[in-house]
Amino acid sequence: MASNEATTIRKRPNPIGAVWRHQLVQAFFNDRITLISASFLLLIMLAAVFAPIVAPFDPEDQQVRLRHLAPLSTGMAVDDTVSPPVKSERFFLLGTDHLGRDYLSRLIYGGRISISVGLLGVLVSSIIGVFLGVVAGFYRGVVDDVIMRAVDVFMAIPLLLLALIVLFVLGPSFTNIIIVFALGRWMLFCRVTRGLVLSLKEQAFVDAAVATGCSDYRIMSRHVMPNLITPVLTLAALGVPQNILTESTLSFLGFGIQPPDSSWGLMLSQGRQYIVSAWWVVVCPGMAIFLTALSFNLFGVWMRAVSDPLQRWRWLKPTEEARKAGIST
Amino acid sequence: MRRYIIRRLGHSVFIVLGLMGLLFFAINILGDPVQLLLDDDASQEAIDAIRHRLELDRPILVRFGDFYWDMARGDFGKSIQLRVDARTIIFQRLPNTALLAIVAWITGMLGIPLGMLAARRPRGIIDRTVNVLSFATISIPQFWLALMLIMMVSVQMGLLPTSGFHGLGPGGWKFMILPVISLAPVVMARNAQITRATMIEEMGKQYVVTARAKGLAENVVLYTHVLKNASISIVTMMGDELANFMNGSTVVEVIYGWPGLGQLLVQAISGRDLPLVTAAVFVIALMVITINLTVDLVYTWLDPRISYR
Repeated sequence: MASNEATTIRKRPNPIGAVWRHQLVQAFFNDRITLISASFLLLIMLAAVFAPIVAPFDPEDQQVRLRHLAPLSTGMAVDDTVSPPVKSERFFLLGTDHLGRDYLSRLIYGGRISISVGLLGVLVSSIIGVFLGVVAGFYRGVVDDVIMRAVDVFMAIPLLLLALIVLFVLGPSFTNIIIVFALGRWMLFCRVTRGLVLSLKEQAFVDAAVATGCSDYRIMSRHVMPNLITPVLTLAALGVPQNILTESTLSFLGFGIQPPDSSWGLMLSQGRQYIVSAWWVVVCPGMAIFLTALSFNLFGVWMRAVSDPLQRWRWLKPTEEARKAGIST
Repeated sequence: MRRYIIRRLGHSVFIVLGLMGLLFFAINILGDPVQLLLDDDASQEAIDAIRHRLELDRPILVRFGDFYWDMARGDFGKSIQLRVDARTIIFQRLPNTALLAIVAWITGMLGIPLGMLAARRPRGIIDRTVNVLSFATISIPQFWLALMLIMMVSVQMGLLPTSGFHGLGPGGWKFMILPVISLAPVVMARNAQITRATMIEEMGKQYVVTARAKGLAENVVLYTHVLKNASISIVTMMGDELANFMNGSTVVEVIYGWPGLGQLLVQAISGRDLPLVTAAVFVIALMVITINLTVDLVYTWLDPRISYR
């Protein structure tokens, strides 16, 4: 009988996991704000990935006679790369900039860089932070002391100051901005990961893994790491908007992305001097940064709330399956 | 307590020295100071001359020692662009940044009552409004807000000057309004969020049940018991924000032409003015560390349960 019971237990699907996942999906679709922000993010990212298809015109195509056209206006563009020059009527949804380039296309291509800086910066800093955090929490001792002291030093440096120093020495470029984020954002990931590892290490399943003779690497990668995914993803989601805002600030000051590349911050800095005559060159990229950062923030907060057992009940409604399985949320 | 203060002070000195060491390392090993000073097409003679003049031909360890020695004496050399002692320029700029920071910081404290209001009824109408507004506020790029304010308030309505600085005296207040309005909302939003979150968390604790059970008015429970216990987190956040202003108001200073430390640092970096950059970084770091230290000492006063050995 005993062996029979063991097999049935092993065969039984994990009801809590399944129900939870189902509820998560439901909660996602029930919460209007989260749904809207996630859809907006999806839209922005698709536009960034498929920029060559989505953008109506070439973002570098200058039509000097059509400078500073207001949004929703049409103009006669001349393509003089072929002879004889071809004239065509173009519709500029968001107007044109000071060189007569289509602003919507520039916004889409600029978003490519802004968003990839945000995502890559978080990716690199989270990898460094999680690695150091796991090592510090798992091995303790001198390694832990050294890593946590480094965290203290880096925590005391304002990010903008660090960014200015690094970009002053290394020069402004896309890669160097990523280096700035790697240096300036790993500490939070490290601290959170270390705390989690410390508490996970006391759990019975880690003792069990040690008892069955798992190697340190196996315990870390198979038993500890999976438990870190949700908190780290939440931190990451909340880190992206900060990175996007910082990148736009740096580009605005002239220490970030350099022309001919473009990002939303650089577009703002280029449009700044035309603020009186052409409001859209300042309003549009600003709105793009604002809405993207807001969506990431709202989505990140939702993730944090849903992954926190103390807050989860506010978002999840008990489902039919949950009641059947006897789980109350 | 005294031992704690001494140890904490040592920790702060360690952080400043560490940061300056990183700066030295970055300038001299990752980069080349001569290249930072000169254009790329400078002749070899010019490079050698400046290398000799700045005594860069000495061994790096000797220069590293001198770097710390100069720092200890507060001597950063003359600014290359302005040909004045870097210290003098810093001391001119420091009060401007401090004034702007403190006014914006105090304005930002308005977020605390907002957070308290929101925490009274979690997920009520005030809570939702404060929550959404605070998230919207922290998502706005500060420099964009500054530009929009200039566009609307100064250019279209003609109410306030677009930018500039007219001393710290009574004539200067007009120039300060827009910078403060650009800086304060983020701080306000962060204060509201942290106040709300910690108060809701504290309200779930046992002592609140006890206080209510013994018949205390809800206001007394909230504003004396809960708020006092929540104050540690709020003070931490406020310290972070003040420290952040030492450098975080850079963009706003640049846009409004406010002659503060942040603007100075940007000018020094653009002008490749090495002594000025070093001096500005040192002073900003010193301010940040001092504020962090003060916050840590305020803890002991706020919550005697925190004991330091």
